[in-house]
Amino acid sequence: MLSASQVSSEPLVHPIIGKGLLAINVDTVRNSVIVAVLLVIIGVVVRRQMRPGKPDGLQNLLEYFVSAIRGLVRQTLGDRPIRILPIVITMFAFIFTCNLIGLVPGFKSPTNDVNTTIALAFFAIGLVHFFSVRARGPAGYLKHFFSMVNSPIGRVLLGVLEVFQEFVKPFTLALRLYFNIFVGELLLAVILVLLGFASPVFNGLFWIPFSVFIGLIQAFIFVMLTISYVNQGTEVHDDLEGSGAGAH
Amino acid sequence: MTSNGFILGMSAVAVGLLIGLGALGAGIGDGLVSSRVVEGTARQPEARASLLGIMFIAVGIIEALPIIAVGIALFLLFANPLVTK
Repeated sequence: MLSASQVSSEPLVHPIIGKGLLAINVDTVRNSVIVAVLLVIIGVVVRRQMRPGKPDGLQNLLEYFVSAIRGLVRQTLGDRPIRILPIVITMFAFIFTCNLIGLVPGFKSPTNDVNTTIALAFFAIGLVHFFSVRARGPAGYLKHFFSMVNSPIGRVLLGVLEVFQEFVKPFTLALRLYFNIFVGELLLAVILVLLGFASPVFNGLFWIPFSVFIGLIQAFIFVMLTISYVNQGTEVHDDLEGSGAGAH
Repeated sequence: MTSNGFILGMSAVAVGLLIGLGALGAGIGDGLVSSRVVEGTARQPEARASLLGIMFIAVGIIEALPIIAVGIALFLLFANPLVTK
């Protein structure tokens, strides 16, 4: 009934230039640049016709996103002096637009390529470590991994787990985003084969709105997890011996 | 029976298990989250908006796991790396 040859392998395969580790996925790069240019154009246009105090249309939408993320940052980080808001809003805008552009015929999401999401995740986690070192100092940063519990052997065991977790974080962050977007686009092709002539109705009424929703939620989750990792990484508690150790 | 045929058959079983068990676990998780949100809303109707926001984030994180399972299942189905060409 359903065979591999019937489903277009288009979402699976990226046209490639180069070999091995130097290979470049052409469509991913092209679509990323398109998304970036689109965001810059939207930014410039909205900036030009900005009406302070009386937002309408696009400005309203953007202000909603900005204030939502700003609220999230303030709620999570409190009044700690961490200037993360601009970069986090940029990441949200980029990921959300990347997720949406794959639903336009002829485009593919840059986020349906694992390279994009791994790069974004490494950037996010790098940010976490940067702020962590800055908030705690290099010694405090290293000591933090081994200060979870009071017994020395527990510290070593938990410390190893903590360090391991730091390596796992970017991959969970990346794969969550990647598979959500990738499967969404692949299922579009699968539905096309399974439902035949009924597929435009199903896709248009159900799957594409659902994909927009998933794209929004995943972009938001990516940003939210980044913020909460930064929060975890920059908490400075003076619990060298004792009380605050159980706070986690 | 060729070894490729065996691998394909086993892959089909794996695809069924991946999608089915993934959907099962995520369904239970989503149900738990939603039921608690309903309880919370019934107890404190004014907290509804913030509870809904938290619920969508939690559901999004839960839903990522079966989606990853479906992704691996589709890889097995359409681009099986175990089959020798």
